[in-house]
Amino acid sequence: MIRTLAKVLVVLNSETAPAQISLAVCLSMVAGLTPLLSLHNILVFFLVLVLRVNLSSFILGLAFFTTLAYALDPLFHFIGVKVLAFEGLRGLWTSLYNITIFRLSNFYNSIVMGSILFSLVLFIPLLLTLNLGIRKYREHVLSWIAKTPLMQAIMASKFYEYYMTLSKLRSRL
Amino acid sequence: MKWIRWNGLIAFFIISAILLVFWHFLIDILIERRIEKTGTSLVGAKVELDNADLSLFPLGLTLSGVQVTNPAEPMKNAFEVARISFTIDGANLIRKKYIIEEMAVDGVKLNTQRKASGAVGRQKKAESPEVDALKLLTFELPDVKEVLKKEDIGSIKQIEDLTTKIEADKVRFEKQLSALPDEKKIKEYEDRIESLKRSARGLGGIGRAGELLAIKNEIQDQLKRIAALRDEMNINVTNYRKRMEEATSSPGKDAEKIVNKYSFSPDRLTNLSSLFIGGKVREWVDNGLRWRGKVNQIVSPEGKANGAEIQKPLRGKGVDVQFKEYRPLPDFLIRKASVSVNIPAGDIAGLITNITGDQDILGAPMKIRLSGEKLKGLTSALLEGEINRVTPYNPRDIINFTLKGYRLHDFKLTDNKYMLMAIKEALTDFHLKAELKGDSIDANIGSTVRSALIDTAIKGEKNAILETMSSALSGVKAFNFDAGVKGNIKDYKLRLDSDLDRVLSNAVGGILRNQMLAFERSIKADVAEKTDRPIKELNRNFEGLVDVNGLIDERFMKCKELLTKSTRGALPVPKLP
Repeated sequence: MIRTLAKVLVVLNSETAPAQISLAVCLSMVAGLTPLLSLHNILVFFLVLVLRVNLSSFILGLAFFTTLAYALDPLFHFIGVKVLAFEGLRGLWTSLYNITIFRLSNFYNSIVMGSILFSLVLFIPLLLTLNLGIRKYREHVLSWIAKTPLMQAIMASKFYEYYMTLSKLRSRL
Repeated sequence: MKWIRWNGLIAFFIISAILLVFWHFLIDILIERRIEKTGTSLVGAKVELDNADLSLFPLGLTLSGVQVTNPAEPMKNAFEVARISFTIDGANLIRKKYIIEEMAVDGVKLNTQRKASGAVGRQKKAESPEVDALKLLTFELPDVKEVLKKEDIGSIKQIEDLTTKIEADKVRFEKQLSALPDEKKIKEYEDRIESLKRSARGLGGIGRAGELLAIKNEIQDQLKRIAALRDEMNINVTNYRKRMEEATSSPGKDAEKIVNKYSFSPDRLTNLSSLFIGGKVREWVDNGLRWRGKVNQIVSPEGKANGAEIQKPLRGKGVDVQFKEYRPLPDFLIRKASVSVNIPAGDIAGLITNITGDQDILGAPMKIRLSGEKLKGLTSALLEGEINRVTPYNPRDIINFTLKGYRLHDFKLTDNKYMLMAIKEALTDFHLKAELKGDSIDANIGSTVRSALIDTAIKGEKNAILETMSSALSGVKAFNFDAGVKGNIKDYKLRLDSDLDRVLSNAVGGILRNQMLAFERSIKADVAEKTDRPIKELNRNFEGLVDVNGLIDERFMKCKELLTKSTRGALPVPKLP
């Protein structure tokens, strides 16, 4: 738990762009909340690797949202059944059901449908909220910590200099 | 291009390639495990596979060394298949439709020995009614006193209950009778009427006539009360008389029930062959029904109701909502499976068509036809069957199986803790014709056995009757039997006719019949003795009730007479203005 929290702090305190972190978290939300072995998750993993998003945030987010998904399964099932049984959409679902690629996507499963809808609806709001949150954190909390006498003393030390050099080297590797 | 990570693209393809390689190497094992797991849960005993080999071009699967344990005999395989191979329609597979146009099933062997038990969980085998009945043949008939101690003689309670009720009613009627005019009261009425009549002849005649009229009305009221009580009593006596007859005949019925439980019915005595062949026939029928249940799991559509198909939800798996398909196809279909069965006599080969759980979509039933001719020690064998689930709510299965000129070796007809009867050698013809509609079965199984060498042995303690039967059976050279199975599959009736009945009846029928009669006599006498006192008590109470009824009648008649007296010779009552 402490290790995970430390990792989150390291990512937040790094120089990574807020959008890279928040997009990674949002993509991890899609992959984590929906059943992992689903067709759409190939696209998610492709985007994670190809887009310059923060991988640590993605992995942490994936672990978090996968755990959360177990608790939310009944909600996903409820949403999924309602949407799939909605009379107005029956024609659309029937058409998709008869298209091979969509059949492979398992969209007709209540939990797949419910979780995809749930994560897609939350995607943009979460992205914007996280972006804003990270910026605010860096602006206020991080700059306040950096200004404290203890932090000033640490940052002025030789040890910190070596740590930063090492850390940059590690990130390049 | 600040947002694109080109290394990531390469990483994606490398990871995908690694996963594909792993999949390629692991898929065979995964398929093997999956088939074993699914098969085991379906059969209820271990299903094992030596090897599964998936080929991609063309897309197909070859399974070798398939062993399916017989759930009833876990040390034996119900069947073993050397090789199953098929190609699968790749385009439909993407749509999750497993369509197999042609399958080859080679080297099927039946009833093979296993190296290790294939049991899954604990199996409990119930004794067939034939074994239970055979136990009676050992004829250590239980002690009558012991039997009656264990058995509930319901008639005693029935008689005692009735006695209590009659007693209670007797007391009630006596109480009601005591509230009615008794001898003394009637005498008083008589005296009053007499004195009024006498005095009415004088001057005060008109006043006395009025008094006489009042007495008459009083008597009329009393008469009405007695009449009501008499009617009620008559109904009660009639009702009790009927119940008395039932109660007094119930000990006989109780005795009959006990006799039937502990000994043979007369039908059984004339159908002794059913004890030796019936068990085997029942075993065949039960095995057949058990396998039908397993086939049902493959061929019956699941979770379909009112056209909306929703599969059973699994925890955390959600439900699959199925929509109308433009070109409907079964989820799983083997259009044609060529099967070759190796039996010691040679090969029996044939086709099984339309194996699917969606016969309603396919519009055709599953059909089986396997045959073999001029085999070693078997003139011909033919198995034809149809498993029809085209109309899912109206399932119908037909099976016809005939064997002609089959040379039988070491076939155990009866093997239980009392006796062994085996056909060491014989030439047989066998037929089975069965039709199952929903939960009902109508089957006929028959065989003609000739040139037979029958081996019999008594197990456990020596018993004169079983020994006589055993020796009679071992001398039989030819026999036939014809069994009819009818009723609900969970509780069917088995009827068996055989010419062995005559042999067995000649040997032991008389002795058995005498023993049964002696047992019956003892039981009946003991039950009668036990119920004798309660019946006497019942009769006494009933007679008491009848006596009360007589008293009420007598009281009624007297009051009626009194009423007549009160009106006879009385002065006419003057009309009021």
